[in-house]
Amino acid sequence: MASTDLLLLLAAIAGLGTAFWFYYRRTQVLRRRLAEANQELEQVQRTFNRFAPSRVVDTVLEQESLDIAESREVTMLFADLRGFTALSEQMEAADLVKLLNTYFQRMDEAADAHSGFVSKFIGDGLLVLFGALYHNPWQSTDAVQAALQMHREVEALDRRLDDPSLPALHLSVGVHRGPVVAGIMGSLEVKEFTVIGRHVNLASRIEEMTRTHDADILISEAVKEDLAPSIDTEARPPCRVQGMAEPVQTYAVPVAENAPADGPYA
Amino acid sequence: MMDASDWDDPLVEAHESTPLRRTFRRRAGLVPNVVPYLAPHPWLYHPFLFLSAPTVEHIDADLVSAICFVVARDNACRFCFGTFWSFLRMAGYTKADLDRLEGEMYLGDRDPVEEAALRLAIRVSQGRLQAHAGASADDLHEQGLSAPAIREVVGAAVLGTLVNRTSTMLSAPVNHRLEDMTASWYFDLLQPVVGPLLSGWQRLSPRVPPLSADRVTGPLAAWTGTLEGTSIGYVLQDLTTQWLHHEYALSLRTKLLMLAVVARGLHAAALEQTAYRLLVQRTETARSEAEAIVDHFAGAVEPDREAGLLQLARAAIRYEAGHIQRAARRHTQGLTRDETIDAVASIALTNALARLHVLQTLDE
Repeated sequence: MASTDLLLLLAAIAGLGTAFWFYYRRTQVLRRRLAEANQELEQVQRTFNRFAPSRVVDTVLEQESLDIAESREVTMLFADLRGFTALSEQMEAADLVKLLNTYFQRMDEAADAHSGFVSKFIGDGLLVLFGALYHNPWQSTDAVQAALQMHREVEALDRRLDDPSLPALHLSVGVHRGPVVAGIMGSLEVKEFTVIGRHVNLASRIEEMTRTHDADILISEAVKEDLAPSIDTEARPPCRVQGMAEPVQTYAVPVAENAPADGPYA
Repeated sequence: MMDASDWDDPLVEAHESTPLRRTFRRRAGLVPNVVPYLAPHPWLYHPFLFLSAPTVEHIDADLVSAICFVVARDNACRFCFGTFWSFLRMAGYTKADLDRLEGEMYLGDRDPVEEAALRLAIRVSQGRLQAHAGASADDLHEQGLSAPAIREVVGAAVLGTLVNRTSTMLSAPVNHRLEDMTASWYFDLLQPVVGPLLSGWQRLSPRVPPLSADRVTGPLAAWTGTLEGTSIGYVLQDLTTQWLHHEYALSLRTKLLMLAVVARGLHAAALEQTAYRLLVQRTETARSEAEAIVDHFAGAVEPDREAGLLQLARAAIRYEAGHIQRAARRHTQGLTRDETIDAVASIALTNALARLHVLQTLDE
C-alpha cells in the first residue's frame, strides 16, 4: 500500500513537473514572440518617423487623408554648410558621406533639443521648423538657441577634421518667422510635411544675407521682437530683398557672446 | 506590449506607506507599483486610486480604462499602458480586443460612440484643444452621447494625462507581475472568477460623489466647474483646492508660475491670465515680472529651483517620454524628495487643468 502511495505521489509530482515545464516553455515562447513583435513595431515607427513626425502620422491616420494643410505662425531656420563643396573635392567619397551624416545627425539633435523639426535637407543645408506641428509660444528663442547649438556643433566637427590642408567648415544660419501654410505636399509618390509662403522665401534670403552682413546667424525683426532679452544681438543695416516692398531689417546673433550658460535655456 | 528597456529607474526613492497601501487594497483590490513613489504627498495618489476603480455616472466604467489605455499608448507611458492593459484584461477584454483597441482605433471596427470618445480623448491628451475637438464633440452628440457623458470622456482623458505625466516624470516601475499574470494563458480561465470578484469588491467600496454646483469653488472654478455633475470633477476640484491652499514643498508662486507656463504652452489664454492674477494677489509678484518669466524663463527666478522647474513644466506639455524623463532628472537635481514629488504633482495637475479648456470651448 505504501509503495502504491509513493508511486502515486511520484506520478503526481512528475505530472505537475511536466505541466509546469510545458507552461514555462509556452510562456517563454510567448514572451520571445512579444519581444520580436515589439522590435519590429519600433523599427517600423522609427523608419516612418524619418519621413514624417509622429503627430502628422497620427493626423493622417485619423483623417484617413493626406490632404492636411493649416495656416500657422512658424519660425523657419535655414542653415547652410559653407566650405563643404570645396571639402568634397578633397575627400574620399566614403569619408565625405560619413562626415555629412554626422553633421546631419548633430543638426537634427540640436533642432530636436529645442523643439524644432527638420523639414528637409537641401544638399548640405537644411530647413528646420519651430511651431509647425503644434502651438509653440517660445519658438523665436527656441530657433535662435538651436542655431547657436548648431554653430557650436559645426565648430566641433571642423576641429575634429584636424587637417590644415582641408578647407574650414562654417555654418551660416538665417531665422525668420511669419504665417505660413503647413501641410503634407508632394506628388502621389513622394510627399513631405513642410511649409510654403512668402515668409519661407524670406527666411531663405536672410540666410543668404549672412555673407553680405558678415554674420554667422542672422535673424529678422519678427524674430528679434519675441526673442529672450538674455540673447545678445547686433543690428545690421536694412537691406532690399527681392519680392519685398520694404527694406528688411536684420540682426546678427554673435556666437561668442551667446555662449551656453546654466540658465533655463541652456 | 511596449518594451521596458527605455524606461528609466525611478526618479525618487520608494517610501512605504502602510495606510496608503491599505487604502488602495480596500478601494481597488490591488496596489499599483507607483504607490510607494507617491507617498507621502497629500493628494497625488488620488487620481491613481480613482482610476483603479473609477466612479462614473454617464459612461461605462470600462470606457474610462479604455480612454486611459489609448491615452497611455499615445503618450508612450510604459507604466500606465501596462496597468490599464491589465485592468481591461481583468474586466474581460481578450488580447485580440486590446490589440484592436491599440492598433485599429481609427479603422471603424469599434462602436462609433466609443471610437468618437477615444478620438476626443486623444486630442485632449495631445493638447490639440482648438483644432478639431469641437467637431469631435458634435460627433459624440450626434451619436447620442449626452453633454455629461462628454464631460466624463474629457475628464477621463485629463485624469489619464495627469497620471501619465506623473508616472513618466517619476519613471514609475512597471507592474510586471500584474502584466505577466493578465497576459498568461491561464488568466483566460481565471478571469470569469477574478473579474467579477474584483469589480464586486470595488462596488462595495465608497463611491466618489459627483461634483455638485455648491462644491465648485475657488479661483479655478471656471475650469473644474466644466466637470460639474461628474465624480472625476469632484476629484479634480478636490486636488485643485489642496494644490492652491496647501504648500507641501513648493511655494505657491512657483506652482502658479508653472500653471502659467503650461497654460501658455497649451494656448489656454484665460487660464494663463488667471494665473497672473493669482500671482499678483497671493504672492505679491508683479504682473510684469511674472509675464517676463513666462515669456522668456528669465527675470527674477531662483536659478537653482524655479527656473529649472519652469523649464520642466514646459518640457512636460507635449509628450515625448524620453525627453520628459531627461528633463525631470536634469531639473530636479538638488531638490529634496518632497520638492521633487510636489513639482511632479504640480506639473501633472496643471496639465490636466489647462486641457479642460476644451470643455469651455464646447460651452461657448
